[in-house]
Amino acid sequence: MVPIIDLAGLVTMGVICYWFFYLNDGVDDSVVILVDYRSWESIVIVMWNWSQLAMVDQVLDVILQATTSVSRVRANIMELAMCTIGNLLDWSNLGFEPSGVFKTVVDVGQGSVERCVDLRRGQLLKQLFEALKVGLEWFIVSLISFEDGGHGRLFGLIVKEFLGKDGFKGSELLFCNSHSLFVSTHHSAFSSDYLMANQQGKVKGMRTSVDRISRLHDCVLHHLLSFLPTNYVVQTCVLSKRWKDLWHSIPSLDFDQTQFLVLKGRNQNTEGPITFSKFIDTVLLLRDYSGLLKLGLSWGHIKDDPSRINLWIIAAARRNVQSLDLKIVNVDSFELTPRLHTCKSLRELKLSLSYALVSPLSLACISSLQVLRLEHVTFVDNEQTNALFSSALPVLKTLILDNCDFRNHELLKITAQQLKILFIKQCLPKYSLLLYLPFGIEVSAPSLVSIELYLEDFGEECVLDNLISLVNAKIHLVGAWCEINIEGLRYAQSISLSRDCMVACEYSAGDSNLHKTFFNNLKWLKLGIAYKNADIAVLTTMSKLSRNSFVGDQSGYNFSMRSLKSVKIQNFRGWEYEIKFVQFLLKSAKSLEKMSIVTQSSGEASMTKTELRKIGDMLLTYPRASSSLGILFM
Amino acid sequence: MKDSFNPSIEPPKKTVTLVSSDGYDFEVEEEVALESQVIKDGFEDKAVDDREYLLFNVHSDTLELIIKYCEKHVSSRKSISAAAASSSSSNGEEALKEWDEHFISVDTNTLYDILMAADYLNIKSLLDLAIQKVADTIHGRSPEQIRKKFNIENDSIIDPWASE
Repeated sequence: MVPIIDLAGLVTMGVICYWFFYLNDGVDDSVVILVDYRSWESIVIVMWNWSQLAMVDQVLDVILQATTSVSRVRANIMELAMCTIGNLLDWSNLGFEPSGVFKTVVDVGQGSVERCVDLRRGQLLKQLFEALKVGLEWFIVSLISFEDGGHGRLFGLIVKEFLGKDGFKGSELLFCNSHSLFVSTHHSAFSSDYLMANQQGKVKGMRTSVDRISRLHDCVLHHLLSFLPTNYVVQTCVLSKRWKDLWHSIPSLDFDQTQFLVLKGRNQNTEGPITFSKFIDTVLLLRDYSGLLKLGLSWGHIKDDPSRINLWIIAAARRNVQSLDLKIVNVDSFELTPRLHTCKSLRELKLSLSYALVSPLSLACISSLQVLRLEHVTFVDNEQTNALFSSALPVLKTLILDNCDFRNHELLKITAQQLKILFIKQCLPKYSLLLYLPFGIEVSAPSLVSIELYLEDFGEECVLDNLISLVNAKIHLVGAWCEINIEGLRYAQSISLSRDCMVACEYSAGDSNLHKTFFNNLKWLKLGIAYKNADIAVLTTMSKLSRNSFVGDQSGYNFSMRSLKSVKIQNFRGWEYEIKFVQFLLKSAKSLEKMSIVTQSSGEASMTKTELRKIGDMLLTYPRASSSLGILFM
Repeated sequence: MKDSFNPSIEPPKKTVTLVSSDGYDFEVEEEVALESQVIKDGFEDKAVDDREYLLFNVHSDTLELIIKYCEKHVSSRKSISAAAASSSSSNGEEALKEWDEHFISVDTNTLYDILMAADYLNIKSLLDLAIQKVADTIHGRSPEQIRKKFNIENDSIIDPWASE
């Protein structure tokens, strides 16, 4: 049986509020029904999950005993019940206009409020309000943890902003939580006009308090704690006996100095009573000797002694650390302790510095390293750097260079034998921007599976060689006056080239082997096309590539792109050379099955509907090589 | 294997029966059940007509959610790899992430049910999802707030915060 809590006192306010609870397992927050007593037509059921669908019938029986317009109520409820309105994200999936259904009552569940406030910053809620403002008479918010501050207050601000300013035409705004029908005047954001009288205490004691988190296994809790910065982890030791020693053996430590800073004066940070260094020392001293998988450290936001960093790393290395993630700012140079060279367990190293100098020698010789990620790191010695990326790290599988400064380097060579993934973004000698210095990148890695290059103002030569295992390649050059040998990618299955990259290979195409190369494995090709002035050049480049990749027949310049099956063209503006390009494709591709053309929908260049239709009709009249072609014009 | 799967031929799908702690049978496709590492381990050793699993720790309400999750992940993995093969730009992964986010927005008790079931069945992605959700709740809260949130009774003899 479902217990019904008599809230007769509330009838006077025009509201009956039934709270139903699952009796088994002490589950709370299950179903909340709010009935607008004045008109039995408007009923909202908030379901927290689908499993409560079965409850609706029981609930209905109760309601039906007290009402005369039976069929109507049932219809309403079932319709609502189908759409789990407890979660706001569902609004987009409702499939009907919310304002039509929720004429009088809107109920926003706890989960949705937290999500709105936390994740979407009220955007969803705003949309909802916009949709509902017209017919809204009631606004009901269910907040379970209303009393614990943040959400309630933030939500109040949102409500005030969206409803108050634009004029909430309805008569009531009701806040309730699972302890009580809850009204607070100390949340200043809530204007008292919107609030019901305080009914606190009417439904007290409903919540059964079961501590389920403490009953989880140690390993699940360790897993849980590894998602948190270490200062929050350590803090859990005071929760109860169960939690006291739990953190001593957690496998992952993540120290973040920003968590320790307090604002002092004008934008000046200082540390709180517990200093960051002291905290790390204490944690490492108190921690037991079980293995450590990961050490994360974010350091340098205030003046401190950097020599301690290596002490902590040594402590981690002794516990067989597998992954180090170091973010260090405000240092001029940083040397990793040579102790790491004897650490056989380290697999992954992430180093993020504020362009501090690093000697490649300190990174070399970490013989077990498989993943190396360097961000904002400065290297000065070309030879040492090249040695690092060739043979110094024998089992290196992944190399990520993000915004690194290769000062005084002329040629960056990456030749690691086992390297599988290479990602380079914005890496060039910073000073060469002022004083032009030649800089090139040479990649020769037989095991490489994926290469991604994102380079801007990259001024020299890029040599790709010996990439026999390559599957995916993305070469993104912007404003580049460089030479690149695209034929080095000939083993890849999927290639993406930026516009400037196309121009670059057009430049170098004349004397290169490009036109003799076969891209036999190529299945997917994405090309950034400039159209504009270079359209003819691009067409030829495209043809050159496609002749080799899609085509079997090479009779002069009449390419037949035999295997090309699907083409997608984005940002189509209907300009002359674009149409020419489409015409070219239609004429050449024999087995083309699908061509989708997406027009530019906004901006000056967007087309009107009549223009669109005109072009669409025109496209249909062009000669086609393929007999089974479908054109999708959007 | 998955890529060569052709829906027009449609072989009879192999199914596995999962029995919840309260005695309900759930018949699911093999690949959905294999999302669970526990079921996967030793799956081949079991006779084909004996593929029934008694899940003593998982209530039918929870099992229903778990199956929903696994089905979604199996199907969207397929569509993502299909999208990648046919080169259409896929935002499938993002959509799945959003779906996950939505899926895990449940009340606390259901969340624990899912978490414990995911641990029991060893479904790593789901376990991570549920744990992340709980971790988000702890993050930024004081011990007192955490106790209140999770109904943890303070049975420590000396409260170190109190002594300070």
